[in-house]
Amino acid sequence: MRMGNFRAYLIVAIFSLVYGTLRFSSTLQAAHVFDRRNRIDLATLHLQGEFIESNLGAVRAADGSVTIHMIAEKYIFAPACVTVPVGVPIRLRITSADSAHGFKIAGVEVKTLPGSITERHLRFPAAGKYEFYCDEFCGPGHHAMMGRIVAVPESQFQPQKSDRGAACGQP
Amino acid sequence: MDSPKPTIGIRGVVLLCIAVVIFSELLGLPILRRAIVPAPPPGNLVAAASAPSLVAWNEATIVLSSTGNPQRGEFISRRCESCHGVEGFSSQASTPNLAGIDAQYLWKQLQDFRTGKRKSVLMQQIAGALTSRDAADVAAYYALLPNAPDAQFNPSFPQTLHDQSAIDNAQRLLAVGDPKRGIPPCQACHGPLGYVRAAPSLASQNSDYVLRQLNDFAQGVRTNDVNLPMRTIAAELLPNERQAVAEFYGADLARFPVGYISQ
Repeated sequence: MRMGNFRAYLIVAIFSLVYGTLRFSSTLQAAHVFDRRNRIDLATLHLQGEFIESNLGAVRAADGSVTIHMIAEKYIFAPACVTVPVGVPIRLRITSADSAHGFKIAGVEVKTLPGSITERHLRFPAAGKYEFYCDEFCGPGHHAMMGRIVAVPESQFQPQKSDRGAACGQP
Repeated sequence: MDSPKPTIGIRGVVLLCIAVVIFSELLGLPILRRAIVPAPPPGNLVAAASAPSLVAWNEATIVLSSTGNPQRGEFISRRCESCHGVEGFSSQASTPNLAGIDAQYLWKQLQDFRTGKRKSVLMQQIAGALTSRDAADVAAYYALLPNAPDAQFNPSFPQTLHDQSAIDNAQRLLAVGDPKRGIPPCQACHGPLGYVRAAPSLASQNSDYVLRQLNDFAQGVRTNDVNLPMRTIAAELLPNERQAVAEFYGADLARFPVGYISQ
């Protein structure tokens, strides 16, 4: 096959565009996953660090910002129901206790891997119950892996109120 | 025919592509290297007092709990027989059957009794007298016992159903759960469809015991489920659903995955 220079350069350009894009994004992801600042020992999640049981849920810092700590595991989100204030920037810090999990909430894609902390910034524009389902297949209970974030007006927000079961989101 | 002029050719294309790959890899190195920084200390939130359990599933505990010596465990099990039965089937429906139980689950429960993370006046004393190795041995012994009960000696299992109409309710919860309320199917973790670490098989468990554990989880009386799975799910279940699930297990109906043809 005769190949002109133009066609050869075109092939190289397309290859480098595709390869470079994939390599760049995967390098960034790897840099995040292997970043030791984002690493956490999943065997001792409940014993030390920021994901201990008393620290799960939404907390408000002194400067008014709200942080959610959450664990995704087979086949629930812990805590399964979190109450947050409307319209406030919220930092979601999530990790997995077993396999890959993920969901989409308020237009933000969240993926989490075991041993790695994912951080996302959320904002809920209106009051209401935001439900999310796991969208990374994680096993035979995957279809029922559901969590809720309930956005309430600022005045009704109580940090770390534990709402389990039917009490979820009740004022 | 046109005169030969210098062209890159296929060989040139391949070489250029290889050059692109090498260039990209070299470019990615500093990004990856930046990630290799010293890990921060785990933080000042150390929660031994309020932790649900002191058991951490690292390599040492997984090896210890799954390599117990069943022969030695048989001698230790003499202390368990009066309540949990000679064959691991209890004569009282409120005491759990241990035959065929998951060794890692039983080891973790004994550790939790020893450290006071699971509350029981009797079991805290009995488990407190065992070492961690003893617990692994006795767990290995009970894991080997067949979980098929002998009807002659085990009057409390299987029980007859009090409420036949609850079967549909229980089958639905075991097979698909209730996705709208965030309740996963029981059999995804408690078998026989799937298992997760340290979740017991409930196929041959007493209904009174299962029901009491579900109520304790829902009310936060039993808190040794690491990362809250059972407290979340049990609180989500209605009282009649807890009753139905417990009776379904106690009637020996969950030996095969629900929703599958067993025979």
